[in-house]
Amino acid sequence: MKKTRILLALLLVAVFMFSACTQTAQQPSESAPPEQEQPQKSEEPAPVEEEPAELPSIGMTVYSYANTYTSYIRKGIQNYIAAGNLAEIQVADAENDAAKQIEQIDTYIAQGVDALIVMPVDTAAASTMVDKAKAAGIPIIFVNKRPSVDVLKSYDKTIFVGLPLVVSGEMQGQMVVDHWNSGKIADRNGDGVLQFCTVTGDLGHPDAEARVVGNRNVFDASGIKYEELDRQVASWDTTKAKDVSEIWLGKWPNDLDIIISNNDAMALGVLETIKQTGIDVPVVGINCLPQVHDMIRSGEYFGSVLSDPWKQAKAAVDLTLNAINGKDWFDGNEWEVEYNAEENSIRITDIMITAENLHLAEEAYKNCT
Amino acid sequence: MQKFSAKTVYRFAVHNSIYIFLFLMLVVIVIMDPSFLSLTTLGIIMGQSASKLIFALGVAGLIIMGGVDLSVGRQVGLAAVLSASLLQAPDYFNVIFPGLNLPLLVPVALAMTVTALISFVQGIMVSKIKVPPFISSLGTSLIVYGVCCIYYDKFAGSAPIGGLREDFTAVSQQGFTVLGLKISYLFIIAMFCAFLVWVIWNKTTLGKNMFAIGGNVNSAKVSGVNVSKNMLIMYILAGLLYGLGGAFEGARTGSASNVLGQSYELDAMAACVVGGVSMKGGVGTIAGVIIGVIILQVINYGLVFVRVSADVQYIAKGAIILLAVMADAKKRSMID
Repeated sequence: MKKTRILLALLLVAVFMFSACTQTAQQPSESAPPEQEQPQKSEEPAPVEEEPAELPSIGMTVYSYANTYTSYIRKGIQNYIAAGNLAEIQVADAENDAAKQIEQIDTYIAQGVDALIVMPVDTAAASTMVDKAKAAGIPIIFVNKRPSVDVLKSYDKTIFVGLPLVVSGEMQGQMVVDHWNSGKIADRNGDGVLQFCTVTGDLGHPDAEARVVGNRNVFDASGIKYEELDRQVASWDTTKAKDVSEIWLGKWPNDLDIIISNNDAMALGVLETIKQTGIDVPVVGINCLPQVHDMIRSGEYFGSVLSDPWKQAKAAVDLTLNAINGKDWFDGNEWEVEYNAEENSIRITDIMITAENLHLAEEAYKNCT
Repeated sequence: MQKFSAKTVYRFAVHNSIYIFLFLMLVVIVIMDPSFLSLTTLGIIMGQSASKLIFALGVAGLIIMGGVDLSVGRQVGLAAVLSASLLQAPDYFNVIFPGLNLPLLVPVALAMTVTALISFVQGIMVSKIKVPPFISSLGTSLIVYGVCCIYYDKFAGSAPIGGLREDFTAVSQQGFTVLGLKISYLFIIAMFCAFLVWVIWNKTTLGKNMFAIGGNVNSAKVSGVNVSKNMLIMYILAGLLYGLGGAFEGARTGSASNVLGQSYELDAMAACVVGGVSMKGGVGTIAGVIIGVIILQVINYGLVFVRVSADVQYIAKGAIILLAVMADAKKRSMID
């Protein structure tokens, strides 16, 4: 027993020493970058003394690696930083667990990072995160999911990049209404009523709820006659969406006018069923991921809503660096985005994408892979 | 005579409670929507259960030996991601390994080898190092998920792996029609697996040992059964089945991502339990596992069909699993 304890203690010491070694090993790589930064400086006329000798460090936590769309934003952020050698960035996966995300923020602060970029799991936990950042005196930039306006206004070094959740759903609803009115979405059973099914993300997930509400807002405002035949949860999972759509297409092969999906990943599952059964029902989604571009071009997939991940990534990084350097948020910004002072948010406008304007989506994802 | 018949009815009800419950549920579903009773429904349910049956067959053997396996879902996910990444159509816009044109069986066999290895390591932990199966499989599932995420991120760029080859997806999605009933090729494969596993369970020494180990490890040991060797073989068999099922689950979906397989372990184990495989070990039949998988799929399908909302679906599924376990416990006490 004693021997095992001694062994364990030795092991622990070894681990600590090892981690200490790896830390010191990282030092040179951190101090090396200034040479590589030279070409970048010549591009920007910024005065040399403002550039710190060491790269600023950023701690980023994303709500789930399993989420495809936010992975593009994450990649965009990493690519943008790597291309300009702008900072040292660490990325952590919160695995859809708000408590874990708070722990990661604690760790980053303890490490002494210069700024935090957060794609929140739970926006209700944002106030805790802001308090922690405030106590440490470092900026905290939220991306993708918007915390409440009160929280965003509670600290001068916080800001949000993205859109209120409901907007994507409204945009998707608008796309359906526009094309229903124009006749591009056919009334398959000829009863003058838009019959649809909705496949949603996780039960109670704020994005999923907001997208359904967004659809509904637009449908109600437009005055069209509609009937939701069914709504089922597929938890953002392609396989589950396929299973559910098999049931729908088996049950209402001639009545369904459109299937609305909370995101593209689930729409892919629905499209697989449509391909398999040959029942031609249009499908709309959200995110406009590169995987669906060819399907939109060929008309197999009706359309999707794009929230430009590259613009979000660039804006997030630029804002973070400005905050670290004590500059104004918008110093030297070249991206065309709108600042909403009331919400303390950078709004990245959503765009409806169909075959006609697909190039916008291709452009947006080009640098995020 | 009367007393006797009342007792017989009670016995019959306890022994078949899960089927009676299922039957009542079907009646309710059909009353709510008579169009449920159709060959289309049956065909879809068979197609959806096929891959689930393959995983359940794997985990059933482990449960009979008195274990659990929480890593089923993640192993399935890894197998799906691996095989999908190697079986993309060359003209897809985002081919991970361009110029690869492997015969269909190679990536599937590779996925099966990988999952068999993972399960083998788990088997070593359980049988030789005596790590409780709950813990060893929990640890394994985390590691496998991590590895899958790294692979998915590095090669697929964290984007769903789509554009799978037609010959690959056809196995899971296409089939033939018998008297108006569409049977997918995957269902045939699943049935073939069920037959193979049936032979192993019932006609080989390995199978007899499996039941003996699950019934009572110590008496199995005393009667000369090499417990760890038998366990290892059953773990490898389970791994092979996870890999096979996982590869074709990806094909059925038409794409694979690291989310695939999440919580499948619970579905697979629930199916076993519903089908009468005892969590205490030593008891279980292939027919039971097949029925368990189909019952759960009928419920999944039926509840969506009659538009029950997702929250109520959870409650229904939970109640059915509990009912199955209670019936199992009651059955045992009646036998004792």
